[in-house]
Amino acid sequence: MAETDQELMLRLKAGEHEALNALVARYRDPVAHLLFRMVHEQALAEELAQEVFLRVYRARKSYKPAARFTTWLFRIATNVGLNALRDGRMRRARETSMEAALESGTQLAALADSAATAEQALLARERRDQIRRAIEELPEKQRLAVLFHKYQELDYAEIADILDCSESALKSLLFRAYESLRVRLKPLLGGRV
Amino acid sequence: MNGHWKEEEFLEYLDRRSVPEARARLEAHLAQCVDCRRELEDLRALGSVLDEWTPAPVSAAFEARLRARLVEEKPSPRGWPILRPAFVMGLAAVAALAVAVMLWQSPEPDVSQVGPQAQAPVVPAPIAVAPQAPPTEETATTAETEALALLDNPVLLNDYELLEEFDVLFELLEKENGKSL
Repeated sequence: MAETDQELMLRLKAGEHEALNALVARYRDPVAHLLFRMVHEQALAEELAQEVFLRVYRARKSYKPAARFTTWLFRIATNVGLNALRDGRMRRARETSMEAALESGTQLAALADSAATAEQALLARERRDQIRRAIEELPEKQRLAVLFHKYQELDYAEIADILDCSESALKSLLFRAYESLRVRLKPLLGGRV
Repeated sequence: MNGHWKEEEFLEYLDRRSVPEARARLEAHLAQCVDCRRELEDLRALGSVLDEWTPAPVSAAFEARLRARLVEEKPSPRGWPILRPAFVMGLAAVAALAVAVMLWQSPEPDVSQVGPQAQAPVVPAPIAVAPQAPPTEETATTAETEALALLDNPVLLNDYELLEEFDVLFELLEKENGKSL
């Protein structure tokens, strides 16, 4: 039977550093994907995800198995992501990624023989950008609530714990967020709102 | 929401987390209310649209990069005090003291000279200049004492140790509190 997160953390606390590998293998993708959806840049999201695991490692001695491990982990990830957004790392990374996008756009144009595929790819990208922008425009707490509810599929109690609010407040927050998204993404829903 | 249902109940229904009674009541209402039915369909469609925003797979080098950063974290059991500001400040202070001691021990320039010669570039003192008396045992001991006192300065050198063992101190305090309770 697989070890629980708490058992792995207690092993790490006791000095068994390989326990961290198991935690990284288990949560690398959820943490990196959450951060990608926060900062919208792959390389930066991965760097920040590494920072999250470094913080877990640094805090191993003071770890207490009182709260759920994922609550603690995602709280760290949220703080790391928000700090990156606030200190402007995201802006710098986006400038770099825009340059890369321009370059890849040129390469895409060069492959004009498969025009239909390229057009589909561009349309899909445009839709993804619209979704990203719509979520980005939500107030911070609503945005985080959607990321945890829709994309991490955490339960209400855990999201409420991470965002430090009541379950009832969280549900209200989520409902308002989805209502805003429904209006903002009207064209993608078939135009009926 | 059109006001027919509480937001919470609608969300729980969408998430398939409604209790059976609430589900039955909402479904009975949906069978009659076109507006609520439309809203529900839109929110379900929104769920599918949001699924289109998929992140790229995490790069294969993720673990290797993390390992490299972890290695930087734990090169020695005491950490890397050399990188800590308090240690750097302490080191700088010791270096400044050493320079001060060296200057103090070196011969003083002859400030009585005036005129063009005084403006000339500084050259090593000629052998003819009367050598300064070597520092007495007492003065050398004073310098050593000052240096040792600096090394013992708790702010300059022990601060990083306090920071490093902060969590250990906390654990001890917690244990004490636990006992006192």
